[in-house]
Amino acid sequence: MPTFLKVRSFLRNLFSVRRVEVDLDEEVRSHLELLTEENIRAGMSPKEAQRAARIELGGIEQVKEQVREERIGNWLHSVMSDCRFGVRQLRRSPGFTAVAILTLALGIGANTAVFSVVESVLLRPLPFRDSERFFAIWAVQRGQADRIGASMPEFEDYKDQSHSFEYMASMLSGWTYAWTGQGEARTVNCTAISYDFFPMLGVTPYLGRLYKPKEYHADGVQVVISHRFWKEQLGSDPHVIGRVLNLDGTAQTVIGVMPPVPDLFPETDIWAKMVPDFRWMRMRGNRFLNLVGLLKPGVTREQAEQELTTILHRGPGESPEVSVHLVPLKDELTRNVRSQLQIVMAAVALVLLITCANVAYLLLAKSRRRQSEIAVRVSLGAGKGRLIRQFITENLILATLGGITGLILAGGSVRLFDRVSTLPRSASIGVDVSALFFALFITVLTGLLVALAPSTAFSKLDLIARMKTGRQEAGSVGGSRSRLLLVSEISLAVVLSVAAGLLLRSFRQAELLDPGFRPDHLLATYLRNDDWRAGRLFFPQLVERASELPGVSAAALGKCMPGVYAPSATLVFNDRPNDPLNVPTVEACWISSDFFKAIGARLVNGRFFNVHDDANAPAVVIVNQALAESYWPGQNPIGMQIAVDYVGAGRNITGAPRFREVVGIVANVKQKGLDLPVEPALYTPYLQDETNHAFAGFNLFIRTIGPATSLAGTVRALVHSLRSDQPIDMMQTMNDALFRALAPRRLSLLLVGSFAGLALLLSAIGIFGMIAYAVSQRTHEFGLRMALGAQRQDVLQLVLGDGFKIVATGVFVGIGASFALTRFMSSLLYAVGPNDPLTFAVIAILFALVALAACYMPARRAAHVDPMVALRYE
Amino acid sequence: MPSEPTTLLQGTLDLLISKSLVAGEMLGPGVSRRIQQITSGTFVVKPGSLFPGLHRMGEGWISSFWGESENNRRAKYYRLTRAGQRQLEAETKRWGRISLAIGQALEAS
Repeated sequence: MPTFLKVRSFLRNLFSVRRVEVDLDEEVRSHLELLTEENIRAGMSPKEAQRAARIELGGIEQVKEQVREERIGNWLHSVMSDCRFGVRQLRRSPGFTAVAILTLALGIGANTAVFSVVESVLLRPLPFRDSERFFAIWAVQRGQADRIGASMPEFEDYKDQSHSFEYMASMLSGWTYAWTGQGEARTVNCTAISYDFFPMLGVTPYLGRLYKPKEYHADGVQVVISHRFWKEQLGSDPHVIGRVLNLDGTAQTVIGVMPPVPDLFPETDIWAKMVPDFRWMRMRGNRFLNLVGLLKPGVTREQAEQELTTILHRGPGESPEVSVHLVPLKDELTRNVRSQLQIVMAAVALVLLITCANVAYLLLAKSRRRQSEIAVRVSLGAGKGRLIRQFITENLILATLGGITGLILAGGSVRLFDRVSTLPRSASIGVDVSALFFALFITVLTGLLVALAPSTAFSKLDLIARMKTGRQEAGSVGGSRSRLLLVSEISLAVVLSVAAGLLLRSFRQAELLDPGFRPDHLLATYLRNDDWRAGRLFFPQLVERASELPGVSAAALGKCMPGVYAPSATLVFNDRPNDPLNVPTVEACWISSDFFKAIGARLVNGRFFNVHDDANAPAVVIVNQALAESYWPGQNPIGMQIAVDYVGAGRNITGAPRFREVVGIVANVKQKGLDLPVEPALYTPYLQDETNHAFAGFNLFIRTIGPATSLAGTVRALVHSLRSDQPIDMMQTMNDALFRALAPRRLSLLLVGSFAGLALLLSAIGIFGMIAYAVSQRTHEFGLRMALGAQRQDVLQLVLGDGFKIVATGVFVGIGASFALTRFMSSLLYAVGPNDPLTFAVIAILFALVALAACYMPARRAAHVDPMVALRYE
Repeated sequence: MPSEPTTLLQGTLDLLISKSLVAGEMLGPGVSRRIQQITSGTFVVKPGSLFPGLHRMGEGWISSFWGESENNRRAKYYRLTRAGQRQLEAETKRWGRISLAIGQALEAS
């Protein structure tokens, strides 16, 4: 057929619907009349003739419907009419529609929100060219989980000898300068970088220039600053190039401003240069540099790992047990939050499944109520395919409305999340185009999933029976299909709740288990120091004066922060052989004499340090119980000797460390985190650090008699009275510091917990809806039973028992699935086994109770049916 | 009339409807009867198939107009258009080729 004719009829069919329909109707009717006349001519009576004609025609409406399906543009027409009909259907039962849309909105919204976060944190490529070829380079000792950085000589070996990399750069972050001469002294965060760092990333200066290669060999007086520092601290000064900053007492001239490098070292104020000429940089054992390399195209990760391992082993004194390991840079940046986000993702996907099950269940119940309508429509000529399409359209409308509401919810919650988030790479979290596509995808998926249940239910439809009774024969609760849906919904909700329960238990354990110190009434602040000679005078004076302040019960210094972090040190023994290739590493901390008193730790044996443990006294050490048990099991370590070698950047060690006598055993303190197991740890008196590295800065701990914050001002004044340009950083109560340290755990608990709560609520609604519906279907039967002598109690039991069977199956399946699945989250658990019986039992009981409550209301209604009313029903 | 009317092959209905209209314009029942007649009763086209067929070919190959029946009733006549005639010739040739080929294929051992 020529195209223009097609277009003409398409338009006519679309826009002159009424005329086309009237014409069709007349056409079919006249055909019927012609047939009748024909039959009369053939000798039939008029009545007979009409009957025969009708039989031959086979139903006016069916014929018309078949013609309509042949029309050009019919699909558009029928889709539009499906939509109109669907909207009308939904408006007819506003309660159902509201519940279904809200349920879908919660499911789709939660998934879109979580996707937005996951996309920008885990999935989105790094904002550098060829970002998938960037790798962090680590060394790993066989059989140990700890990753080892590189020393400058190792880095130089890699760079000179390897052929796998286009670029390789070294970085050293997490150190500071004191910036003075601009109001109160401030601490600025520095990251030292080797020459290749920015060229590797393809990032060029925003203003000014970078350091030249030859400038890397002298500790010059020029600095490159970060965009953040320029904007926030220097007020976006357009004439910043040439401005002089006083950093650690040295005048440094700004030569360049870098653009934002959002994903790498976001806290950096100063991009300092890595000077390989420093003596402490020349030591092969000082492995504190972070390395990043850009692989050449076509070189695999394994090839590069092998090459670097070979190069590493060529170096003098390198252990053959150590091999080089490459980690994609993006994974490296997000490794701390990956598992937290994964559990949240799994939880939210379960929520979506539960949402689908719930809405499918609602639809199934509704479609059963609609069976008379369906029967009428089928007998009026609606084909089965057409009907199924109608139902899918209806459900897609429902899903779309749910999806739009969900998107609004997601937008709001992501904005809220952005404000509280402490995640890496989260600077640009938002509902963007990919999130929109994701929302569209799951909306359509949900619509189709949800439509499956009721539309397949039509295929077994007994038309005649439906037309005759107008009401469905009632069996027990629901059909097998709806039972299945409910059981799976309940079991999914159980799995989610068990996961949330385990996270909650872990969190409670982290908060409740004795941390070995008392965080209340404890104020802490960090004081950095760039001159160890001055520090040797300043710090003892400060502690002495601070402990004399009114309202202070103890004051102390420590390199570590209990519950947050601790430095590391290696041990040398004199009572056993020392394996230089397998050196024991422990947590270690330089402290002043009242440290344990200030943080509230308990002495187990021996003594704490006192003011006499100074540089001139015999070298001493206090160990924790864990260290005593792992290295002197069953022995009293008091009087034993160990040498302690601190590990860290900038250490300049000459000769072997000296041996120290163990003078005390302290009860275990959770040093690195409340949710981390206790490790062997030791403590050494700060005045006995002959290398003076400890004096680069200390945490000051103040145990107060009143509220911890009340002394903040006094302490600040005291510090400045002793040293006017001393920066005071992160003054906080210990409780606040611990709260912050637990933030990622709290976040995942909050998210998984609220998803589990949602799942529980949805299942309760599902159970309630199912029992209520079944009861309404069986009113007649209950009336009959009661008329025949059944007691209220019996009816109540009958209904409750029916509901309970489904719940029990769901809980059973859910608990079984949890047993199999929770081990995947064991890395997130603390002091709780993945199959913690208490959690499992509580969740099972909780579901049983909620289900009973949900069954009880409709069951009570059933039990109060008046037999006479019920028997007259319909 | 055979007791079991044969099911029409996809596409052959349109061919038969066109063929029945070659002689001139016709009313709906006339088309049915004509098809029954020219196929010696092998195919009985009920209105449920006839109307969709007529409408499928309407606008192009078949045109229709309202006229009067023998009993002076308003009734719709169908007529093969020029394009429809050309289409019928083309389809007839094609059909010949197909039936020959299928016939040979089925007889081949």
